[in-house]
Amino acid sequence: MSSSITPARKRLMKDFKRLQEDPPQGIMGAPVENDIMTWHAVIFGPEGTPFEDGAFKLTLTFTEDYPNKAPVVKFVSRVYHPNVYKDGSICLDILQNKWSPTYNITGILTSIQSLLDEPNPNSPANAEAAQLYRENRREYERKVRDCVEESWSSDEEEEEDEDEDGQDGDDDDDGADGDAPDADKPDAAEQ
Amino acid sequence: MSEGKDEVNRDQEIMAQMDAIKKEVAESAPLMSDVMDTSTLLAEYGDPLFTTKIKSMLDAFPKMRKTRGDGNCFYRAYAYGIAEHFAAHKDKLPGFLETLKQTFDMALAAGYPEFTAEDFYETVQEQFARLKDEPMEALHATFNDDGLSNYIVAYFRLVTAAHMKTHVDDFLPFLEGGETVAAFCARAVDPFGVDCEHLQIIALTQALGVAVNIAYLDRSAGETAAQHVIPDGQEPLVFLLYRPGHYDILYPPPAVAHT
Repeated sequence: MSSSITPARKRLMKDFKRLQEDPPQGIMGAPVENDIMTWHAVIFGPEGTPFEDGAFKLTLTFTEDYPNKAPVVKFVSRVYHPNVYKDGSICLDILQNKWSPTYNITGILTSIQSLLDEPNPNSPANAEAAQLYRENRREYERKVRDCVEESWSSDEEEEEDEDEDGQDGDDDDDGADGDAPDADKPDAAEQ
Repeated sequence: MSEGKDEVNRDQEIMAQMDAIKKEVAESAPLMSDVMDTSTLLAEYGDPLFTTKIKSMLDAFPKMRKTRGDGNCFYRAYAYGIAEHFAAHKDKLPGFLETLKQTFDMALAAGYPEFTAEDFYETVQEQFARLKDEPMEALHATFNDDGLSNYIVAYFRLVTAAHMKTHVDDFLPFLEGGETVAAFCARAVDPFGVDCEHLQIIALTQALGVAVNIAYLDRSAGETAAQHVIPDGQEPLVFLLYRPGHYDILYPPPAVAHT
């Protein structure tokens, strides 16, 4: 069974092909080498917003339940935003209770891109950012500009930060439904 | 990233918890069980009201088949029931496959992207087409294969939402609090694992042209389980048992008991 190509992997390859053929503006993404279940992506801050010129890196972690279950999406770059937690995870309904299997990677990334300039202050993941967004837009934008600047500079360090989430204590989420170690190999050849 | 974690991502925690619960359910029950005696339900209830209602159903529905309780049970049980019907009436299968094709066109018309919708459609079309020359046992395996079975559920959800979105005037009057059909679908149809309620059942059965008879085993008054056919007035091809929050399949006497 595990050597045949699973629906999740088939769909991810299709998502990849689609993203390459028809990339939306300001978005890049690709699976990491030899592991179609883990993706790296970059979202460029939309023009005319405080996030303009930012290049924010993310990771997307898929399970075999994709597309019936949303991937875990996290910013690797620091993002100062009302709906982004300190650990980089994102509070966005389509990644949680409104996920639908008809969404795809392009849709996820474009939704996150629009979220940058259209925060939802009612479900704050970063209370300070939410408060500044409402009450002191100038200071909010200054803090956003800081993370925009950081987003170009600290490439190497951030690459290493990625594995941190393994030690958060609650391993039952990623740990349990993560890939079996042997499940990584077969698809590389299928490409 | 080093300022400490005063704000934790609760959504992620809640989702992890829900996943753990779902996993537990998954390990304790197959997606679709084998056929069993409906009387086995008696052992699940001590309540005299339920006992009386179950006994009242035994002549009409001596056999049943259980569906895993994962929020997708109506869609899965209904799809399974349809497959069983056409496995037993192969002459009518081509008509149903044609209806399926029309539902795909409808999904595109409703604005679902072809790029993602076609995967679900193709899986359903391919699996149901197997019934031309394969027995129901083959599809029983399909319905118990996570990947294939969940694609069938995903497609039936898509058809439900697409039918509502292309028949807004029929459904809008039943929505509460000024909710739009699109918002209703995004909340209560599209997300995988969200329970199916009356409106969704109406939409799906209309779209597929397969009526369902539902026996209600609940706390409502009466000594027998109430039964309703949806859509009203059509001959039901699939029989389901409703218990609050859950659906299983029922079989009338010459039971189509394949497994």
